[in-house]
Amino acid sequence: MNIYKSLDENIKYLEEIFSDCGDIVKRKFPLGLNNDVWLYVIYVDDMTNRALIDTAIMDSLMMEVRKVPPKASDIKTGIYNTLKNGALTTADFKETNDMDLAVVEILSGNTLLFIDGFSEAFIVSTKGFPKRSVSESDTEVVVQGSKEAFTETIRVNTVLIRRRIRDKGLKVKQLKIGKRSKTDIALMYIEDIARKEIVDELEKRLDKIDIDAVLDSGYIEQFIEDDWMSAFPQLQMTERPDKAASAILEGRIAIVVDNTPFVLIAPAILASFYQSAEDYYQRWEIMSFVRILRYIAGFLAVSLPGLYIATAVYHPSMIPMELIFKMSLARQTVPIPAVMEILLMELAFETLREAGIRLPAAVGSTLGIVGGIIIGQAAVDAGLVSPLVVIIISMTGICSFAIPNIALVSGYRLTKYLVIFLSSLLGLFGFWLGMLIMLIHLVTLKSFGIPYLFPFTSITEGNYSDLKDTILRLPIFAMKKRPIFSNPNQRTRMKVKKRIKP
Amino acid sequence: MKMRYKFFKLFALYLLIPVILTACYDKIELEDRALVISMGIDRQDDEFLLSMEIPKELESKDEDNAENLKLAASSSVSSAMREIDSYSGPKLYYGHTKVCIIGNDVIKDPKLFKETIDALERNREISRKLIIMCSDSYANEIYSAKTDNNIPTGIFINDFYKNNIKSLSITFRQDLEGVIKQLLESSNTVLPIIKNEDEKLKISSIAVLKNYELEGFLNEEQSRGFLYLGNYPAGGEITIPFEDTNTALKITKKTSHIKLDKNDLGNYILNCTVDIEGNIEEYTLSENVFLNSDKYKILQDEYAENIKKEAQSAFELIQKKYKADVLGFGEMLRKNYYKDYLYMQEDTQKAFEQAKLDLDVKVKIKSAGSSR
Amino acid sequence: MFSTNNKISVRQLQTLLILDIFGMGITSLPGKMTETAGQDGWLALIIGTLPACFSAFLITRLCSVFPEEGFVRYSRKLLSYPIGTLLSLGLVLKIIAALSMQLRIFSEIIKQLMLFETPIWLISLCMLLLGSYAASKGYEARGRIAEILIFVVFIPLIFVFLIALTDVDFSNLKPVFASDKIKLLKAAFISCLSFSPIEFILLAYPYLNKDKQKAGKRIILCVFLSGMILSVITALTIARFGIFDMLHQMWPVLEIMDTIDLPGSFIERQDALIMSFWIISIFIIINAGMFFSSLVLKDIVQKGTHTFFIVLSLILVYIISFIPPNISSLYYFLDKMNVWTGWIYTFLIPIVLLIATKIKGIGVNEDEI
Repeated sequence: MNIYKSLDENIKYLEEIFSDCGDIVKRKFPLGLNNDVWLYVIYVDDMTNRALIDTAIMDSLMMEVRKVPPKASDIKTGIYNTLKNGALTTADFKETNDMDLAVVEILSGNTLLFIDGFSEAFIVSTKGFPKRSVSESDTEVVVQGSKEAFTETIRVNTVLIRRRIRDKGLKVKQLKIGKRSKTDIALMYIEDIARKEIVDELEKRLDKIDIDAVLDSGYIEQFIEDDWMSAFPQLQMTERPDKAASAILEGRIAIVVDNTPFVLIAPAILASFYQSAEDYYQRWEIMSFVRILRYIAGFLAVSLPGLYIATAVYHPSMIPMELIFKMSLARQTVPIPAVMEILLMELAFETLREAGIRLPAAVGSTLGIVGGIIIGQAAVDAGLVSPLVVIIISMTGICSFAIPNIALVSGYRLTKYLVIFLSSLLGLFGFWLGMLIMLIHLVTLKSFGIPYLFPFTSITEGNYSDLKDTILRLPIFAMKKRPIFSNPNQRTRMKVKKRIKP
Repeated sequence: MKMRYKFFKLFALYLLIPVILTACYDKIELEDRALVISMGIDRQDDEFLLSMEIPKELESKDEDNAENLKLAASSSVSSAMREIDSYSGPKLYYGHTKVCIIGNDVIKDPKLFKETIDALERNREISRKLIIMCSDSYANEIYSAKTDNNIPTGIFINDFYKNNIKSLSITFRQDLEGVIKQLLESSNTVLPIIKNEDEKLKISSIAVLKNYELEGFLNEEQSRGFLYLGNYPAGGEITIPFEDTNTALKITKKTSHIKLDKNDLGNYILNCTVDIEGNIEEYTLSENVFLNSDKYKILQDEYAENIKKEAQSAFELIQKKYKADVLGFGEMLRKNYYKDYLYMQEDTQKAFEQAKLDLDVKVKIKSAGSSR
Repeated sequence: MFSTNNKISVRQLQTLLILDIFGMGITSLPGKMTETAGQDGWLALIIGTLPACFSAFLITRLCSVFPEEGFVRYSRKLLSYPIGTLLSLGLVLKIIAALSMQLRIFSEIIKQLMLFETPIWLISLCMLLLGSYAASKGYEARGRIAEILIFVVFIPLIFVFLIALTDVDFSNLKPVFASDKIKLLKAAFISCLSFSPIEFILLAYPYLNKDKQKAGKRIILCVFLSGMILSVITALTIARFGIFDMLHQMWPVLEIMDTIDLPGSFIERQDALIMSFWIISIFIIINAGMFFSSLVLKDIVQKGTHTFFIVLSLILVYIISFIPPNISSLYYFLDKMNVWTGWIYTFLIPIVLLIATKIKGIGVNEDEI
């Protein structure tokens, strides 16, 4: 609906809308020596930069304008243009005649200025809400590398990325999603590198979202992913600007959501979850070794308890003789079957993990040690579990922590139970059944059209260079091409013919 | 139609779940298994008497090993293996069985021996790498010997082969696979013998089986000679008198090749070359072996002579007295002279008895310690 | 972009073929070759690969005439509707019968060597359900799984055989070339029948994306390669065990794993471990069988969804796999079936259909793209 021409009607309407909102500040004040024109300013207390309002609007309108009085002909008809062109001393300023938009802008932290007799109002950008400063990330820690992390303000986040990519092709497309929350979302990508199909598909999916509030990027992820039933993530979430920047340079798209420091990156394949930011800053030999270790850890995190059950219960011929005697002796006193042992300890471990997140920092580490070691030891001494099981469960837990991305680990944690269940039914045959089920599922997953297991399957000519950055991380100058996400025309990243010799 | 289809799928799923959940047919917990480490097979009163060693822990503090032993008698080997289940709490598991000792009575009768080997092979749990030995009397007498730290006998034998195999000169390792292979090829085989001497275990000398039954024994020197001929790893020390003292050679490497040749008269000649490398371990003080003397060349020839004599006497014993083809003569004939093999209608026994051995032994002394 | 429909690349088809032929042959082929041709079994296998390559050549020629249509459709076009339908039904029956035999052999072996008390119906059911689940995901999923699983199958296999090489006695292969020539040819004939996964190419052709013309040469190459692999494995197994021991055992290739000594490993008996690679190769065959039989059924009837026919094939295969009462009648039946019907769909039908294309004048036009 349109803004009324009469100021009093506008004031009445706004007062009705904001009837029980005590945090809205409104002021009706006159302009000019003779109080010729009445103005009305409205904003939300403390969501705005009060100093800016006072200098840019109130001071300039009340004091400065008086110093240069307008011509008589300008009053009453031209006052609008005078104010627009001469009075408001700020660069970021829009006009509107839509009342609904005006209300949304008030609620977003901007200041609205109504003028009596005109059905347009000024929107002055004065956002100044309390925000967290750029600090370190807790979840993605690196030893060597930038320690900045995203914050909850969308503008700060986009600036952090812009600082790293000063290319004119970097686009920041803004959308508002959520009927009642009207959260700002920004899509950041480099226009000529990213694939047009992926960008269009992404926008199409975002348009289809019809929800009342988007409180976190996790909400968006669940709406736009390819397969909502799968336990494996198809979009990557990161808190680090350098990771987001390198993803954008590969041709992927970063989705920055207001009020959350977690930025979504689409599309994401399995190999991208195993890469951490530090991989590229340190030496390639050690990082290749660490990568291989991560893949092995990923495999073990799913399969270790299942393997233990399959060998100990169904095929003890595979375990060396000395170990078997010790295990057999230890198990004499345990009342529950091996499967129950494993399940019990697994669930206890998961509960411990969950509880550890919520503890305050002072108590957290102590309880970790207490819970892990002492309770484990006490359980063994009490005869509830055998010591080998404690080792297996802790190894599984450690392997799951070795993977850089916690979203992927959640997929593994759930598949582990499937494998345990099937191994306990059918031994090694059941173990392979479980692993094959997981493999079949992974193979059919796609993330925005790109197969999930990309460099390991479906490789065609022209894409072999992707293999250089999956299991091993070859030196920087070997990675001459961009990965699969980018536009086929823009594949060459660098043309280093000869390395620089000292 | 679609609703019914969905209902049908759900129904099938519901039917499947209890079926699968009542599964776990093969699940036997570790503490419910009794691991059989070694077994001995004897014949007593027309029945197979099996002695199984089922230790509870690897090193026990008790003096008495006999607690680990369980005996069972039955008319066939497999039913004896299962009979113990009827008076044992845990279920017997043969997946870790390492050694099988066959008693003297069994190898004297070809039918019993064949039955025993077949039972061992057909059993699903027993590995083909099972060590087979034979005892000079009863197998369960072997178990009454004492071992260091009272470790079970089977583990003692297993460790013995694992650690000492390279330095054995008077015995070798025979496993189930080797026995079956030799028996299928020529109905003859050789087995190492284990004895219980004064409550101590001794593994030496070899039993020769012909046509599935015991033909004779090779004592220690003869076993040594035999082992030089075949493709067995050999080591150990050879001591021979030289000048007026004894010298000892430690064998570090031994390779032997046997080839079958035919001379113009139509006789078969086994060309055997044995190459031995070794170190002098003992001679006598203040005598040089290598530098400033050619003693080592003389020593090499002396050793070669000695080995040749032993090997030749072993071969003569096998060929003339036992008439058992345990060197693979029949197989070599079949592979290299196939037409002759067919002509003989696969009976290579006579040809073996008339074959000549052409033995060539070379000894190389590589070093003599750190003194000259 | 990557296709969202069921197209696979030629490379994936090659991988699938190698795995299919390997899986079909590995269990019983070395034993059967030695039985018929003695120690020259590996030679018989090499000789048997040649007709298989020829039949692959015929089939790719036939399929390149009809690049977009399935077997059902062009056989109906060439040989009139009822005969074409009959041929397709025959193909389905053959695939289902072969599949149930393989499934039964697999369950028997698992019961014999790994899970002693578990009933056969449960083992067969689990494997069949897994294969059907994978088949219901489409051909693209099959191609991708094969690309990953080929490493899981072949790397442990090569490792095992490299270690077994240290204990191998190549003189066991002597006397070379001394077997009866007739027996050699008979063994070659039997071996070429176990290349039956080639008939899957008949059905797979419309699912290839781009490069269909060059596909022919590559497919023949990989048939030759898998024949060579099987021959090498046979030769190594004969050399390892000697001919008498090999004839004595039921499944010599699987026993090899039990007899090698992995250096420095603490796992004492690895026989259960080697079952892993073999479970995976059987999984791929069952997957192939379920996928293709339901595909052909769907093409014949031309309505209904893919999943419905998978369930139908599943029930059929499961019931048929219980018909033989024990393993000896199973092998008897399998041999008879191979001898009588093995050559029909790999040789006879492609030749007949090719002649029909010449008669009807439908050929590959060089002016057409």
